[in-house]
Amino acid sequence: MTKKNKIVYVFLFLILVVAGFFRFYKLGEVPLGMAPDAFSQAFNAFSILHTGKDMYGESFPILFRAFGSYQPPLYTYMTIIPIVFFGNTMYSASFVSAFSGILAVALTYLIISNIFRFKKDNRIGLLATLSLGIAPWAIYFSHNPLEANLALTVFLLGYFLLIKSLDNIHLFPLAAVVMGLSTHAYYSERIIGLLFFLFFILWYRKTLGKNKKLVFLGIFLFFIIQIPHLIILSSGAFARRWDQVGYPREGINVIKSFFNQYLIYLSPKYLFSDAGEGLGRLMPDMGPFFSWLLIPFLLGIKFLSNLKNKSPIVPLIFLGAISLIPASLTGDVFYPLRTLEFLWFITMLISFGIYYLIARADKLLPLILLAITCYSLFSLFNSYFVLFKYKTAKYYSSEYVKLIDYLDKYSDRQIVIDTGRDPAEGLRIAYFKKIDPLIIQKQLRSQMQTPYYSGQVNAKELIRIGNIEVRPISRSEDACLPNTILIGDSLSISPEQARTYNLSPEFEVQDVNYDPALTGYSTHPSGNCNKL
Amino acid sequence: MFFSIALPLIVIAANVWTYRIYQTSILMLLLLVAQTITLFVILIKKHIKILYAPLFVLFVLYSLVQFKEFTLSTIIKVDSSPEVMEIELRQPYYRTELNWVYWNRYGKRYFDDIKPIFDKYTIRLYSGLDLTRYFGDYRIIFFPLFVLGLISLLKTSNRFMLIFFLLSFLAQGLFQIREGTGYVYYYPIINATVAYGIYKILKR
Repeated sequence: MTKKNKIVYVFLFLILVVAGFFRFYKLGEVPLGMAPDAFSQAFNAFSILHTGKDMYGESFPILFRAFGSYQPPLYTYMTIIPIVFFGNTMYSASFVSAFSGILAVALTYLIISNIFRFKKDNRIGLLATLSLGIAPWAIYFSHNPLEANLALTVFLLGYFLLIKSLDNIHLFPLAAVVMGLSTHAYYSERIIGLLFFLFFILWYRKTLGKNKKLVFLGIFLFFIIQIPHLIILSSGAFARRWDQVGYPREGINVIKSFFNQYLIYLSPKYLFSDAGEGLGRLMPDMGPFFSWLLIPFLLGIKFLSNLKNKSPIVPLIFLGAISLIPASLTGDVFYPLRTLEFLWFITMLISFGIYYLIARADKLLPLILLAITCYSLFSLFNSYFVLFKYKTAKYYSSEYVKLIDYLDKYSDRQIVIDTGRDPAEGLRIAYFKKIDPLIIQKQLRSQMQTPYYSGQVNAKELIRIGNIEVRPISRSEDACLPNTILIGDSLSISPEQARTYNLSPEFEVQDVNYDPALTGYSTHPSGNCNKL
Repeated sequence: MFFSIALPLIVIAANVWTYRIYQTSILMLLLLVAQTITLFVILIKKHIKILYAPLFVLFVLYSLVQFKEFTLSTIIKVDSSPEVMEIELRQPYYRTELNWVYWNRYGKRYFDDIKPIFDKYTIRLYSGLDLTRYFGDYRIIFFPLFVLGLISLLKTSNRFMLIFFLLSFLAQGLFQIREGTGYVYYYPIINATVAYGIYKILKR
């Protein structure tokens, strides 16, 4: 190993340490809970581990049915591993995303170094790696249990193997398999993975054409991996998510909407600043990228346009262009989760811009950039680990996580938990308390109103775990149940309603601001049931 | 010479934004059209740079006149009640999580006074950089031309242009003029860049 290589590896190692810190620091603690989808993934992984079936009793599903929709399967299957090692925790549920976030950083070095090997300058690969390692969007998505983050990593692995297959054609079938798997990791990759794979073959047809047998084998394997999709293609399950998030069927000019959505994702307003409350926001006071990175972003475009040898970067630019197609086909205004390949591409552009600056500037500029980066990381830390943690607690149902600790005290009473605001409480209890998956499977299977793979999926199932029932509360009827505790927020049972139905407060679960979030009421049916 | 004036004028005429500004103020429109043509000429001929600076200054002065209710505190202070409430809401979070980093003279001043202003200005700066404002709906046909013009512009490394782009960007964060006109500081840049994109295609 040469001295130059050693330095590169040391820097690479340090970048991975920084990336690892931001991805694993307080993993499972921030945010203060998980979204319902994350709990269904976690419980399904637990259920598959012990029974080979998901929570509906379906053996090794192609898509996982949950909360009125379907989830791509790869994340759930991979979550089995951390559950084996770390148990039923939020850390386990988030582990695959965090780990794949680090892998993506390492893969970025390999991809960019290979694309730009003609420049014979390792700094470009290192800067790309660092840019991804500390990018706010990459940290945010790695810190949450999201299939999309795993999908990006699988896609990048496929991209890297495709590049390597130009030197070693024997890697092409493997690259095709990995690229095929990416289509099972998240919805966006069904389009991006397929288009990119075909374009790559087309672009390098002369190089790859030297061994047609292996190329055809790769294409064959890629399409073999699509067979599960074909099996459920006509069931309604395959396109269920698109039905939910796509444009409304009537009164919409599809072409106009598509291009408007495309432009939104390209807009610096959404990429480099806090786009405000709502779906577009990742964390308070911050966009997917630090605001000052607009300048390196523009310089990155300049860097690419000035390159004399543009052939290796054409697939990269093609990726940038197609990566917005899936998100642009949906109706949400700026939903970055669906555009991780695009955000990765923008990160690469930014890193090229920084490289362009550093390669031409004197020694002072790297120091200035270092100072700005340190300040940006300080801001990121405050934004995510402080503000985001508290401000999103209600969206991640932190009070329902806390509630689980209260339930053991009332094992001799019947408990009814209202699901009005949170449909996942039943699964949450089942996951944390390691309830036998067969119990849940039996209940959920019996409530299925349509076949497992269907375009119509009932969302709000009832779950009973021992003395705990998780379902919508009917105040007039449930208040008449003897020896029962009714639990809900102020919309489920207000203090006035509690008085009306003769309910007495038993305990209170506070939110992060120490305001009452959930209240448990004891029923006293003898007092008013006959009147009602 | 014909192209120098006709091309940006065609782009200006095809942009519905022009009519919105026209309905608000003819003088403003004239200043913006003059800036657009000058910018375009600078781009293709790299002279008359000196003419753009007074036009820009004149426009800044004109936009200042437009602010009848403008007070500097809207930019350099966080004084509206939702903003103050937000700062107060965040204080216990900082206290709990950051401890001494927040609980010292400089930390508290940074988090309570400096950071909110910095964040507010950043949001204002970027609020106009929503591409749907300029290329939404049927105007999407201008977008590839804009990208081509921008790439060509970045390639040329025209420092003069970049300085005025940066000035427009910073000024737009400060001044948001009359309802209906939009982010007018970007008007000359966008139209001139689109025209430059067309010019590059024609030249090839």
